[in-house]
Amino acid sequence: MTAQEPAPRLESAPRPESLARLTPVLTKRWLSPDAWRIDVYEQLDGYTALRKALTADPDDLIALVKASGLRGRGGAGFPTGLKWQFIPQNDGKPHYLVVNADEGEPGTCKDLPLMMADPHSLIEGVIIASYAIRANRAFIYIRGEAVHAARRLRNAVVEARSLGYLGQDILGSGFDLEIVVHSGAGAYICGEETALLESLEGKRGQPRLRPPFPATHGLYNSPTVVNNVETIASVPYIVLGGADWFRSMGTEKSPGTKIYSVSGRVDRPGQYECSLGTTLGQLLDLAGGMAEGHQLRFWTPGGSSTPMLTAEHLDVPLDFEGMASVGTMLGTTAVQVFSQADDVVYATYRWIEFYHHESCGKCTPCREGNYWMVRVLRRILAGQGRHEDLDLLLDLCGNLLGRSFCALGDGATSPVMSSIKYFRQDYLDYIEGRREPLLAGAAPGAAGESTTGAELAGKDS
Amino acid sequence: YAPVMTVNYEYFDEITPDSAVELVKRLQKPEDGLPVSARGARLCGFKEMSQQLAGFPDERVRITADGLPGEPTLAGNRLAEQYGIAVSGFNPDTPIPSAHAQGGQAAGGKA
Repeated sequence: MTAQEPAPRLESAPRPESLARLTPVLTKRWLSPDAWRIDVYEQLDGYTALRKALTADPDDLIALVKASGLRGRGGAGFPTGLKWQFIPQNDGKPHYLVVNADEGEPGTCKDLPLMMADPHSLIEGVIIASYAIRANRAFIYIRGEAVHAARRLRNAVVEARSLGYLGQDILGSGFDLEIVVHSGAGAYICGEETALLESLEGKRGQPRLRPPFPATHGLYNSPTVVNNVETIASVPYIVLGGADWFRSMGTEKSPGTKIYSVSGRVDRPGQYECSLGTTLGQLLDLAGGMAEGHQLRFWTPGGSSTPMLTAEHLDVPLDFEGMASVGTMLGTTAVQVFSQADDVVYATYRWIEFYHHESCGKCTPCREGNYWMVRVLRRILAGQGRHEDLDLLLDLCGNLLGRSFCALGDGATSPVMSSIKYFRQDYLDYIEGRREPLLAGAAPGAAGESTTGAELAGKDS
Repeated sequence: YAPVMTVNYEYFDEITPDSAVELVKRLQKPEDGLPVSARGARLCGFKEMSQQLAGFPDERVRITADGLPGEPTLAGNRLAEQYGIAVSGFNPDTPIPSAHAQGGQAAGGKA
């Protein structure tokens, strides 16, 4: 399609510099409603990357992914090629590839749509990655609640096997692979890689102590690579287009394309695949700007586990380095946009309720810290906060950050610490009575009341 | 899509208090036809759902074809399509660099 005059249905078109950030690569096939079917997928250049990859030496594929600079898309951003390289080869142990499809970070919506609309792109990536790390068995751990995505995924596995892309001697390469699609049981913690492995092994989903790392002692104590869906789905395009092409997008240390999930008080929330380094200002422009009557007040760059930012960070590049430079993290690029109509204290409370609910309970700082923070925040919202509560919350965070086996506890400190940092006055307004209590009063010293028992005290949303 | 209500894990989008009540009323009278999720599949019972969660295939005819992505999912794509944005420089025949001599064995990879 050639560029034409902007369609008049938009009041104002996005600026050219924002449009230039769009990079439809992983999301391109989503426009074809039947791309989940293997015959349509193959018409759309499907499985050409696999054919090309099988002609190469597995070590060359690892080197290619390393040269591309692909970094994990699950939140941590660990260099993918390096992770693959950590797998000891010729050790006599079975290797496993595990795909983390347990998308649960609040605000994130990229992996599930991908598995719904284009599951074969993930399958193709899985086969290539498994071939590279010499894994003959791959597992896709999909979030249990994503029932229809799981149907599409399981159907894709069956279709792929029927055409010889899975099974024994794939396309005559001598490489065998079976994929198991496993549905999770509804726990956010099972998106943590070692908790996921525990759950996959049939045990309670609780994180393991690391070291040793999954690269040497992962699934069934064997070398395992755990990668996010978007990371693996990027692999076929790197195989086809090469490392230099991938690096032509994004920034030097964060190359490539990323699916940004923009939600909240914007005119057109949705998935916008852009090159890494896009700013919030550009994303808002693409999403049609703030919704009418709303001004940007606070936003999360990568889901609730990343410290929130404010309107002053409109032009900070959304890549791994840019976000680290302003004291937060890129996370899963779950950009949640809030306005003056949103109560930052209440949002923090709801997020901590989530972390409290999802905490697996293994580590005392996380289990007790979240439990405690929920109650302190509820007390503040009920108009019974004290000035010492802010110090208490920060003290709790100080005892939680970096003190548990996994990052759930760390994630819980993000909204609390950043909201107090940027919006201390909002808290003080509740504590000092300038703001009407949002929740019906929790009786002083009451414990064990259910979170659903708190009523909204007649406040307009 | 928000606010979203799920019924047996299938999504019903842009729910209001009134439409939520209407949805429940329709669920209470299945003989009049169950509501259909735009993005998901036809509803099935909890027993069938639990079997699917355990990994058994959904046996209903063409069930995988149910559901279409909504506009929010396609938002970025639509913009790119509308303004003719495409990624440049993509050559699917770009050779994969090889570090090994031709015909060489797969080297014992680095740990």
